[in-house]
Amino acid sequence: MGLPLFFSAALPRLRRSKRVLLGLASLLLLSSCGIRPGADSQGPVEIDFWLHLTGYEAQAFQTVIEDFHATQDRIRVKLLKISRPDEKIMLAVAAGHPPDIAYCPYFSIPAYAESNALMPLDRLAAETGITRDQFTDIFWEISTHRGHLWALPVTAAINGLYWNKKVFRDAGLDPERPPRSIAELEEFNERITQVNPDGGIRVMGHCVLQPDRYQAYWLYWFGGRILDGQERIDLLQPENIAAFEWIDANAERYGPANLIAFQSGMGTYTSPEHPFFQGRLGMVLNGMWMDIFAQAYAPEGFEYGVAPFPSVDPERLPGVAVAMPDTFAIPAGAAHPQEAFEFLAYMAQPGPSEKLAMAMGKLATRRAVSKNFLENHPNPNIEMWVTLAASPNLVMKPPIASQQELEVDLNSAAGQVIRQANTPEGALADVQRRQQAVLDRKLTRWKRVAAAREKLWSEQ
Amino acid sequence: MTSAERRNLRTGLLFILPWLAGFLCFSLYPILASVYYSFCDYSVLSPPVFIGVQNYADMVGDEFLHKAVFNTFFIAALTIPLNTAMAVFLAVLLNFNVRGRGVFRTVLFLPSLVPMVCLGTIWLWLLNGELGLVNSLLRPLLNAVNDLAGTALRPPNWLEDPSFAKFGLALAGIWSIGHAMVIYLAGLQEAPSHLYEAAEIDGASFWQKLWHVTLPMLSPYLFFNMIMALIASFQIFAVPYVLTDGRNGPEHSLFFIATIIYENAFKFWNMGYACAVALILFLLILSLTLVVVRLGERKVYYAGR
Repeated sequence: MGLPLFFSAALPRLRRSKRVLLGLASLLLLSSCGIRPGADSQGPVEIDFWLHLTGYEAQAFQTVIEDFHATQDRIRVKLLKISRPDEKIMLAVAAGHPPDIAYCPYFSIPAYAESNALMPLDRLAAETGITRDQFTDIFWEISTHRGHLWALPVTAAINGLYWNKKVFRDAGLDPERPPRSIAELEEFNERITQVNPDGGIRVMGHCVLQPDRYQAYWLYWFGGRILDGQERIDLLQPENIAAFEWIDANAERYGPANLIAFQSGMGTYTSPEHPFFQGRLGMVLNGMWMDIFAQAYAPEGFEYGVAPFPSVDPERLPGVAVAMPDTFAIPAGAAHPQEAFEFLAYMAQPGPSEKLAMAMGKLATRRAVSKNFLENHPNPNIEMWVTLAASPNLVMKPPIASQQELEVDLNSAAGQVIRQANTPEGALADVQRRQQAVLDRKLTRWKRVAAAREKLWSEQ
Repeated sequence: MTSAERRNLRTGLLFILPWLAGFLCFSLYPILASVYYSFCDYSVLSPPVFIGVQNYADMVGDEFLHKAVFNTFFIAALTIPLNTAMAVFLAVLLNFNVRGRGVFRTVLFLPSLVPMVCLGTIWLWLLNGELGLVNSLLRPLLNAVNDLAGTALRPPNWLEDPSFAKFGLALAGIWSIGHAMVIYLAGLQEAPSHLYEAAEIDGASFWQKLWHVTLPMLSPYLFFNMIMALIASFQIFAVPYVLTDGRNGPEHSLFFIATIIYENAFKFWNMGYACAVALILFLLILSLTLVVVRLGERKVYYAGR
């Protein structure tokens, strides 16, 4: 009874303050809309830079940002560290409030480009004299899609074979001689692997389940490919089947449960507990960042070697490695694209690019590197990596908009083969069927908008 | 309507206006938009293109969706009775008048306050096949059984074995029963003591009292919690996503309907398909809830009736 009376009594006061309340509410609403105040025409332009790295790697970028600031006073770069950049950039572009420049995962470039989430950089690159022949071919190739440039590769990593010299020595192998073919890899694997009476693996020469995100891509080291052209997935090539048969043979030899148990106890390689550092794993395929982690986490006196991961036929397929550049792009709708590209172009110059690469233990993306880069790089095996980066057998993940779905499906298929739940050919056939349907849908979507997109991009 | 009633109505509407605006903007509009997008090819960054029922047709042939539906039903069938039984059991124990009852109640409720992501991260290591605490406790037990029976049992690799992954997830889910347990505890305390006295006079044992007095008195709470558990289990996402690092578990054994919605919406740029799956999930949960409500009408005992 009292409550309605209270409201009635409050009504006259409410009427008077209604406008005030409405005004306050409007101000709150407007301020939450993220309307950016106009740039001060007197001061520098501030550009937002989204980066996925933290720790010493982010610090390296901050240093380069400070260097950029020292070269000019028109542009200020504001660094923001984010996780899951591929999802956040998509949402930011959809919301109409993207950063000016962002790390764009190289494998997402086709999907982003076809969805008009990125700004084509052809014109800006041409205006600043940035051309393909300045960069390692494959890194530039990864940054392009549908004939346009979408990002600049600033630093890069590739992968190779790491071997533990003490484990080799203990198994009676020459610690300075890595395996040179898949067949030799398996021979060394047999010599090194020690199995408990119950079948559990105590020490392993090489585990096909490591690193756990690469299982799908073993087929590259067998000379296999995923695509036939741009529109057809072709997984049933003999080379691909051979790769999955190799995975299957490993599972049969050691037992799926034992392999999986060994792999599940590995944890992350960014810790001293990783079996490679502990001497429980003789050989592993990993990215060149492993050299930096070895310096940080390996025990005192740890000896290891680095070489190209052996392929099935070293004569026909020398120097196979997966190219993984760090690409940076300007999202569509960025508020300051001109200024953003000026900073991006600065980062991609030899000096800053090498500085970043050295800080992160990675490669620079330019065709030629300086003497300083080779002499002072913290990665003790940089010469090997630079030589491998020039290999004609460097591979890239398939440049299709459904690359993520494909990778998830292929990894799952490799897992099925490991668990002996499917045959190699059966698993690949299933993936091909499913992923061709996915790719067809993406291509249908692309063809619907292709003409309009090309027109838009040619005008930008 | 008198002018005073009109004034009161306007005042009432004004007071609920913020909630109403929020509901329209952040609930009703997205739901209706989602229904529309389910009939479109929509990549978020391009305008939606109407494609009719193509998304629904694609669902029929989507093996991963079939797997996700099976997994979702499996986990619901596994966790709802398990968690309900555990929650009732703990509530009955916590209802006993023992010293330190408050401490026990707090300790048993605390795990349900752990955020889902933290829960997933903790159980990721508890369930590790080689190094996890669960297997460290299981291993000596299984070794003892092996010695006695001559078997060769080994603790399962919970998150790497498709046969055990969902059981590992169910184990992790037990930490979330605190809320249901507290509701059952409230229900137990509401149960009239004269019914227990009458049962004791009639010579009922503990189990007879539990079956004939406690459970009927708890039936409204069981009914409520089961519906909530049904809805929650069909929407399961965060814990399995963290447990598998977004990779859906061995042979997609920890791949659920909510995961397929998330992946299609935010990783694969198929918002239209994600909306279609979301609509199907909504209809599924709605249908099952209605079935449970109809069944519950006959089985639930309301003391007030």
